[in-house]
Amino acid sequence: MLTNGCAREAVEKYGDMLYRICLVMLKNSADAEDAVQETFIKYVQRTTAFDSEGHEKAWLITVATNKCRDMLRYRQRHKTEREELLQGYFIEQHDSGILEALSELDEKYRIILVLFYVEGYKIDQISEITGVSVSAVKMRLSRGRKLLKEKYRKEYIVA
Amino acid sequence: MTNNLKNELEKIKMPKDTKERIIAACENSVRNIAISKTDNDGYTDHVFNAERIKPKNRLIRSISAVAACAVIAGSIGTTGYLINRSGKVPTADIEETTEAAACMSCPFGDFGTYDFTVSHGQDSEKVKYEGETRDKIVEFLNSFNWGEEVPADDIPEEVLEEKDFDMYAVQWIKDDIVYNVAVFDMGYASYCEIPEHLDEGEAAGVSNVKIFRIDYEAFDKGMREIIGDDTDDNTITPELCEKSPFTDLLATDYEISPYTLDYQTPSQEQRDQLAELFESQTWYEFDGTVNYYGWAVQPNRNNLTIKYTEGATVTYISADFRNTACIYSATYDGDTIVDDDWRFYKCEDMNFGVKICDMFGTSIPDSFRCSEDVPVEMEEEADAPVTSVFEDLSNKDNDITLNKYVNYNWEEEKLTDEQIDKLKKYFETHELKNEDIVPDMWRGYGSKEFCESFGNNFIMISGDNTFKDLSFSNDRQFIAVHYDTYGKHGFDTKIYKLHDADQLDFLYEILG
Repeated sequence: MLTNGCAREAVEKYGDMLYRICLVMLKNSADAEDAVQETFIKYVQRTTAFDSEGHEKAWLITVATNKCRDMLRYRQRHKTEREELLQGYFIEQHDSGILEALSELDEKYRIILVLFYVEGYKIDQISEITGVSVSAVKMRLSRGRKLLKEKYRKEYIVA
Repeated sequence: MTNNLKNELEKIKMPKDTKERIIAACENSVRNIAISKTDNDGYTDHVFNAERIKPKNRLIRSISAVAACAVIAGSIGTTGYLINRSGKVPTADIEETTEAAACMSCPFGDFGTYDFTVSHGQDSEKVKYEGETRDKIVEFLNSFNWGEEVPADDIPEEVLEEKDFDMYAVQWIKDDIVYNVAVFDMGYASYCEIPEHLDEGEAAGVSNVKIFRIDYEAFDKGMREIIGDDTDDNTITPELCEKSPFTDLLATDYEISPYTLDYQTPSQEQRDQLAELFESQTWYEFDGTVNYYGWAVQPNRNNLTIKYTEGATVTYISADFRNTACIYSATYDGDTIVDDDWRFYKCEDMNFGVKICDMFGTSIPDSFRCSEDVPVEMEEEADAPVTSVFEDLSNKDNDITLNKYVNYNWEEEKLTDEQIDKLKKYFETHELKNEDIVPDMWRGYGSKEFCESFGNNFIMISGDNTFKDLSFSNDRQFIAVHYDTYGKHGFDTKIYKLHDADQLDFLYEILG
């Protein structure tokens, strides 16, 4: 666990993870960078100590996902924001079908899948982080992975 | 698929310049608040004033905390003990007790005077040995060459970052202090003392951290001779085939999908080349259903697929990009499989599949090609089997629900006690076995083909440590178990032949 206020250490430790989550949620690298930056500013300004490293990480994810949701709501209301397709970003940089398929899912599935499969959180922890009920997390996970497989397997079959 | 998702997402890194920009923005933000505090209150609130901890101290704090948590949790699943890198931890030496004086070669004192436990492996159970076994352990630990103490800074970075390691831990408690000696297969042993009632995450109480360079093989051998090898040998070792199992099949009039999405008819030249390539290999047979249960026998970009039909029997040869191949043969009565056989093989050419791609002009990324010196992968560690469905159904803490896809939405309803009892009754006598596993003939769990065969509706068993979906094929031939491997592979799917499906009439009624 980092001591509150250590910007560089926090960014080095959690920056990539938060950037991934924000990028998956926002599908726009510039917005993702902004969301991560605002998350870390909140982090260094926080005065209360964290109970544990897990608490610290979960807090950062919660703040980042809330920020992303705010930005998504803003986008919906104003309709002026550009949305560079995540799939374009990934095709250029990673030549992968799985991320392209992920980008086609609704945001509510994307974040749950990323927290479960990539960050390794359990269902009850995801429920706490996202504020979604345990049963809803289960359903989103179940449906999300089905949808992901349907989309992914259009092009790529995994043995 | 979920592994791919994890791998691909983990490749994404925030650009370096963005990180620097964010750090600068954070520091500006902190500075502004600090200045504002000074102005308003006459002093600077140092909480905001980036209390910079030097990296080394930060490492000590974070890793010691992990170590402490591990001890408190009763397990030691971390290299944490090793990662005291600065030598600036509390420097008091281990007390020279009279017992210690009696055992000059052992830096931890005389183990004979401690009421210790031993555990082998990460997160494994602590065992308190008694009698003759304890005496032998004491003698071994006291006389073991614990080597020289080494400065933490001398430990290579790759050792500190290693997560997949074997270890022993010896622990004892005295005067509310937990004393720990951990021996890691990276060739280091560590010692530390932790207050017994340290709260999780609290690191300040971890003290006397010391690291020694040791001969792990000697330690492991010595301990195994005393306490035995209680770890299951779950290695799969292929056995030599006297002759190529592919010869006869490759002489047939087959169609082929060389890592492509469609079958094609090979030219005679390609057939000859392919037969020669298979024939040139030494083949070894192994039980692949343990680890390769998701193998697809439909044309796909990850596998060679060869299909040969003779009467009611369809036979597939399939190979991956490396050195693994299989033969699956199924005999049908109408659409029902009445007999099948699935065998797996390995050869010693790690580019076996790649050579087939080249032979047929199938384009693949260069990263798929193994270098000449890559070790041949023959033995494999077996995946954990699927846990018992009967036990999952019997666990009162698990939720057992029917999930139905209705009007483009999922509806969940709890199964009644009577329905659960009927399911339990079936699975009590119909345990799922590896020998009943069939390859993926449906293009994956959740695919269009899968849903056509299995429907959209499924039974979900979920609880703290259980996440299992059961799908039953409409033709009553198969059951698909989609389950969480909890950290090993994400979700996996195994499809088994379903026996005595007439006993599941009630289930098919509610699945719809």
